[in-house]
Order: sequence, then C-alpha cells, then structure tokens
Amino acid sequence: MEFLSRLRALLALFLVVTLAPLGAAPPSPNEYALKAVFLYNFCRFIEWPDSAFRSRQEPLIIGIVGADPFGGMLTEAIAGETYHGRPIQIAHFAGPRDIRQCHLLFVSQSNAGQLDQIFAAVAGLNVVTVGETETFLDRGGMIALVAEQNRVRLRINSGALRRARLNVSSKLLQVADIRS
Amino acid sequence: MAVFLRDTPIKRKLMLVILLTTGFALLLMGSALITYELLTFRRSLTLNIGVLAEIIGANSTGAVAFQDPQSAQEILAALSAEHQVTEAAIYGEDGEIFARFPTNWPVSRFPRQPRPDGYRFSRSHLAMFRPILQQGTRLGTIYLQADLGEMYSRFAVYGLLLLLVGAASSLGAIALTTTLQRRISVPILELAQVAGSVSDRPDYSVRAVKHGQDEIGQLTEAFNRMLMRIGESSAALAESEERLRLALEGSRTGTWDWNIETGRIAWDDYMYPLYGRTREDFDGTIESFLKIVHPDDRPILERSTEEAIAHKSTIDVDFRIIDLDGTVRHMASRGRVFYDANGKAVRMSGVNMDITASKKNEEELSRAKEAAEAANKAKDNFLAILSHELRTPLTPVLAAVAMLEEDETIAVHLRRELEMIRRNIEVEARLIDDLLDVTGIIRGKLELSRQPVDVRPLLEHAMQSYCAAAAARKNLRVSIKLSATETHVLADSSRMTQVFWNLLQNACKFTPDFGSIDVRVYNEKPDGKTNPDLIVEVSDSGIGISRDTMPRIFNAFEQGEHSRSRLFGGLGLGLAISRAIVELHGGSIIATSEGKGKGAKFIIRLRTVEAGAAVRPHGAMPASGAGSAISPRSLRVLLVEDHPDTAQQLKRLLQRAGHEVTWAGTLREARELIEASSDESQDGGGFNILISDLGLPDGSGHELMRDLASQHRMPGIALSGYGMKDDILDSMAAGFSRHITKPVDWQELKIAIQKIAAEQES
Repeated sequence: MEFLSRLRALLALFLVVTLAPLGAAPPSPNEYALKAVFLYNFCRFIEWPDSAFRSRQEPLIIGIVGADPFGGMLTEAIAGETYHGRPIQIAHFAGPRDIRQCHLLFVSQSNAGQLDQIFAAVAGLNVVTVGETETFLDRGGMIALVAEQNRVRLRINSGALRRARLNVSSKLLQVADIRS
Repeated sequence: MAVFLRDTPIKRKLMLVILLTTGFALLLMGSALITYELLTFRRSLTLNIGVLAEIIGANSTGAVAFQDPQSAQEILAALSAEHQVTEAAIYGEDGEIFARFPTNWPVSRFPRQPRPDGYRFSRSHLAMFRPILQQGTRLGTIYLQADLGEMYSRFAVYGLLLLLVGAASSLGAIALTTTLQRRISVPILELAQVAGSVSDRPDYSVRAVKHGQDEIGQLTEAFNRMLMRIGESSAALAESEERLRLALEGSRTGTWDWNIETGRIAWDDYMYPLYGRTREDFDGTIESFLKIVHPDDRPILERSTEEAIAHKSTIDVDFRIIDLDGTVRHMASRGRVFYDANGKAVRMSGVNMDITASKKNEEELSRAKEAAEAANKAKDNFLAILSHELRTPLTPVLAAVAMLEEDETIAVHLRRELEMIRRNIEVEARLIDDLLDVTGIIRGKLELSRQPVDVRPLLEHAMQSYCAAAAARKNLRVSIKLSATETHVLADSSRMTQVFWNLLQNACKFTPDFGSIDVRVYNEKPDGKTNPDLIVEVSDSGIGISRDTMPRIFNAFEQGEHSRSRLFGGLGLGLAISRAIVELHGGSIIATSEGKGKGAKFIIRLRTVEAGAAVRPHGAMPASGAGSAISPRSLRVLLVEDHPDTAQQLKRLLQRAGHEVTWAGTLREARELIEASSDESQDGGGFNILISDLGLPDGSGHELMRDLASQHRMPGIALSGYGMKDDILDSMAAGFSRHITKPVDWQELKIAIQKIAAEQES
C-alpha cells in the first residue's frame, strides 16, 4: 500500500507537472516518463510462459538496447514492483550483440538501424519487443509506443506477438491499434 | 378498545372484531411483504450495480493503465443500456475524474473525489465506489449511481394492491359477518328478550329457543333450567307463604321484629287482633308494649330477653297480657336474636301465640291430676288402715290358740281343730300382710334392711315351715337340688323368705295331688362380673300358665284366670309382691311354662356377695332354736295394751312362760304402776321389761319408752301393726330393744324376751 501512495504521488507529479502543458508536440522528458509507466504496465497485461524463466526466483528483466531515454524514470517506475512474485530488473545492452537474457526489450529510436540484428538476437525467445515508431512494427516489432499529439498511442503487431507465443490481455488490445 | 366497545351492540362488536382482525392480518402481511421486497430489492440492486461496477472496472483497466480516456468513455457509454444507472465515473489513480457518464454532464455534477469503497443508500439513490484492479494493483476507482425510483414505484404498486386486497377482504368480511353473526347474536337477543319479558312480568313458564349445542346453546339451556328452578321455587315460596299465612291466621299467631338499635317493635297484621289492639293503641315502642303486658310478668319478659341476648340463645317465654276490657290472656313468645359482625345484638324477631286456651286446659288437667292423686292416696291410706284394722283382732285369736295348743291337757281331737284354726288365721294374716305389702309397694314404702345373708337356710325354712305340710297333704314329691357354692346375697332375709314362700305356696297350690315340685339352686357367672349370680328355680308339674296370661301374671290383683281365683282362692298378690321384692334386691324373676297343664317354672336371679360378710339373719328364723340355749328366767313384765282380748291372751302366755305380768290399758295407768312399783323396788322401777303396744288411747308407746329408758334404764319390746323400716327405726329411737309386728308370733316374742333377759344378766 505504501507503494500505491507513492505511485499515486509520482503519477500526480507527472500528470500535474509534465502533462499539464501537453500541447508541446516534440518528444520531451515527459513523454518518456509516460513510456516508462507504459513499459512497466505491459508486465501486467502480458503473460510470459514459465519456460521464459530459468528458475522460480529469476526476475523479470526489462532490457534497454542502446541509449537509455528514460534517465532513471523507468527505474523509479518499477521500484518495488513484482511480476507474479518475481522482482523486476532493468538490463542495459549497448548493441545487438550484447543482448542477453530479457523478457521485455525496449528499442529506442537511436537503434533504428540495427533492428534486424536485434530481432535476430531475440527470435524465438519469448521476448516482447517494444519500439517507438510505425516502422518498428513494419520491420517485425511487436508493440510501438507512438507519441501522437500530446499523448502516447499503443500500436500492436498481433502476428508478431502470437509468433512469440506470448499471451496478451484483451484489455491491452482494447486500448491499442491492432495491426496483423 | 374494551371500554369503547362496552356499549356497542354485539352485532357491531362482532363485525368490528372480524374487520380489525382481517385488517390487522392484512397489514401485517403487507408490511412483511413490503419489507421483504425492500430488502430483496436493495440487495439485488446492490448486487447488480456491484457486478456492473466490477465488469466496467475490469474492462476499463487497460484504458486506465494506458491513459486512454476515450476507451474508458466508450466502456461507460455502454451503461446507457442500464436505465437504473443514472451516472457513472472512473477516477484515475490520482483521484481525478478520468472518464464519466453521461459524457455531456459537467464534471462538477460528479463527486470531485472518490469516496471510500462500498455502497451507500441515500433517499433516492444508491452510490457505489469500487476499486479498479489489475493483477491486484489498484489503478483507479469506478463510481456508479443507481436511481431508486423504480423501487419506489414498485412500492406504490404494492401499497395500492394491499389497499385493494384490504378493501376487498373487508367487504367480504362484512358480508360474511352479517350472515354469520346472526348465528351468535340472534340467539343472544332472543335470550335477552325472554329474560326481559320474565323480569317485566313474572311468568316463569316461558322458555328460550335453543339453536344449537354450542356455548350459546348451553347458555340457553342453563337459562331455561334456571327459569324452571326459579319457577319451582317461587311456586314453593308462594305456597309456603300461603301456608304460613293460613297457619298464622288459624293458629292465632303473629310475628314481631324488634330492632334493638332503634328500639322499635314492628308487628305484622296478625299481632294487632291477637293483642286486641289497633294501630293507635300500639305505637311500636317498648314502653307501649310493656303497658299491654301484665305488670307481674314484665320482669320475666325483660329477664328472658336479656338472657337470650347474653347467651346467644333463643327466647322462649310465656307471659300474660291485659286486654282493654281487663281480661287476662296468656301469650307465648318464641324468637331469636341477630348479631352484627362485632357480636352486638342488633335485632330480635319471632312469633307470638295466644296460649290462653291451652293454659286453661293445663290448669284444669293439673287440678284433675291433683284430685286423682289425692283420691288415690286416700284409697291407699284406707287400704293401709283397713288391713291394719283387720289384722289387729287376729293377734289375740292366734295368742289364744297358741296357748291352748301348749296346754297338754287338751284332747287330741280338739288339738286338730286348734291347729286348723291357727293355720287358717295364719293364712288370713298372711293375706292381710300381702295386702299391706302391696299398698306399701304402691306407695313406694316397701323398705328393705339388706345385709349379706346365706340364702340356703332361708329356702330350707320356707320349705319346712310352709310347704312341707301342704305337700304331705297332697302327696306331692318335693325335691331340692343344691349345687351352688356361692349362696350369699345382700338381702332382707324376712322379705327373701317371703318370696320363696310365695313361690312354694303357688307351686303347692297349683300342683294337683301326686305331682312334684323341684327346687334347684345353682350359680351362674355372667360375662364381665366378678361374683357369680345365684339362681333359684322352682318348677312344678302343675296346671301351667297359658300364653295369654303369661304377660300378666306378675301384675297385682290379677291371677292366671278369673275362674281360677274361685278354684284356688287368694288375692293374686304373691307374685306381684315377689317381683317387687326381687327387683328391689337388684335381681330378676321370670316365669316360664310350656303351656297349660304342662307345669310352670319360676327363676329368680340374684347377685351373690362374699360369704365372709354374712351375718346370721335374725327374726326370720323363729324356729331355728337360737333362743333355746338361753334358760328361761322369771321376769316382772309390764304389759301395756289397750285391746283387752289381746292383752288377756298375751298375759296368759307370758305367765305360762313363768313371767310375772302386770297389765295396763293406757299410758296413764302404766305410769301410775311404774311409780307405785318403783317405791317398792330399788331396781329401776320394779319391772324388768316393758312390752307395749304403740297406738294407745292417750298417746304413743314411744313416749312411755322414752321415759323409762332415760329414768329407769328399762328395756322394752314394741308391738305394732306397722312393720315398715321407719316404724322400726322410730321404736329403736324411742328406746325399744325389739319391734314385733302384729299379729304377734308367740315364738318370736318368747325368744325376744329371753334375749333381753340374757343381755340384762350379762
């Protein structure tokens, strides 16, 4: 419960301080605060098979390839949170070759050129790939967090998700633009 | 309710009761239904809205999580299908409204902040707040508000229905009651009508009609029975009143009632004629009543009134009243006293009767009785004097015969004549004695001098002296069987001898020649007594007693049969005297007989006493030889006897016995002789003994004896026609040593003289 109040306070801070002037179109640190929360929220609407974990105590790992646009906000968002009793950890991968064990992989804009290598690295590994553009989905990514006007829209490549044998909650699908 | 219903007619009461009951039942049922409905409705509404909130919350998690108010609005818009929901909102984690329904309402119409989770009912709405959860994490709050209008409209329908049902059932109840209550109220009203008619006009013959066997039927029956009883008792009352009225009228009886507290006396209508007064003469006060009462009887009346009050008893007093014309009449008053709770006498009432006639009868009766008693007494006295006068002449005759019999020179044939004369005079003397005894018995003057005595010698003496000769004459076989061991009784020996003699004489008299007489003496011990009884049985083979005469044989002057008295003679007094004597001894005598010609048996039962107390009887056994041991001694005898013949005979007998006899006819003569002789002799007046008659022309022999006893210490023998105990005691008191009853038995006199002589010598 302590965490809830903390979260609420955090969100209030964000919404009041950062979203109030939502009129600004260009990506801003506020945009990534939202995306950090969204990233964390995916853990609640997506079910990973047990085979994705090596052991019972193994944490759920959110991997970030390349530059970290969150600047600690993601760390804050997942602080103390768990996924089915597993702790949630963040792993930073410098490049596609560095990608190791993870469950959610955020691919920032800066890595757009290395998408093929990245997808190849996680292919068949039950890893949810999250990008920031429409093209990310076109190239084989699963979810895209697209900044649109003053908000962040969800785009989902349902075929890719299905291929990764991941169970996505319909509620997530409900609020997302689905592409097959 | 009970109070305001008290005077309402039963019909209305019944209807009210039924209506109230129906209404109450309906109301209760309706309330229960509505309450249940309300609760059910609320619960189902809460459930519905809760489910709705749950679904919407669950659906909107994605929208909330991914900040998609558009989706949330769409989800909420689905609520328009649920008309109960009037408004809904989703609050974000920050508590701000995230989405709302209806969308066109301004935010200000919704609660600004989510309230605590749960539901609340207001007057018109149900507000529900529920968390929006995703995997256990709260993402926001869903708020729904439902309108309760439907509930209220449903209640309105229920209320209306209830009212309709109530009205319908009331109408039905009224209709039913109107017919049903007749079954109850009609019999009651009829009963009331009959009761009313009876109380208006006392006709107890009417009866209420019974309609059924229920309580009212029973009431009717009881009422009819009561009417019957009242009818019977009022008829009985009327009858008894009538009887009383007639009785009071006929018996010259009136009733009175005295209120002690006010002092007023109330008389009924019969009292005034009874007292010969009008209402003006008697004003109801005690004073005016006492004025009517005879002055001599006023204290009696007052005293008996006070006693009745004091002793809580009834008053029962006879008194006299004086009529206005001065006539004295007798009244009897009977009554009782009434007391209050504290025991104070408050009232006295009773009846008055005129008893003048019965008082007069009573007085006449008592006068007649007195006269009869006087006459009877005169007769008894006459009998006593007559028998005495008849007895007196026999004494000298007996004395003369006795003297002649002792004369050895008399020829044998004359001796037989003399014996016959003596026997007949003795019989006559005995008859006269019986007569004397009977008069004594009648006057209650038969007295006994009882001492313990052996019965055997008495019986033997009676048999020898009176029975033996007669039995020999008639060739009767006489036997005596003596088996008794206890033979002493407390008895007057001469009287007991007389009883035995009577029985034996009867046996001899009524047994024909060559018959038999059996005497048995034995003891019998009845239960519970210390001493056995002595039974003396005298049975004979004589003419017996018939069944008819048996009950009367012990009555005086009655013999078995009148024809018999002629044949056998006698006065028929023996058995009556015997029974009187035996009963005076505390014994009993009964007679039995098998019938005429079959003999008779007389059984005497006496109580025995201890033999040690027995003394030898005297006087009754002149022939026992008790005196023969005393040698004759010549005495100087002063004989005082006014009857010359008797005096001559006695003088001669005494002289023959060797005594010196001086005769005086009167007291005066006797006194002169004593004075003359006392000069000659030192020894108490010259005479050794006085033999004196008691009834002398110039006084009683007692006077003479008193003088002689005190002055000269001279013994004396009294001769008298009277032999009662009192007479003997009188003689003893005067100083006589012996009292001999006339006719004088010479042997008895001789022994008495010898005894006195012996006493003088010693």
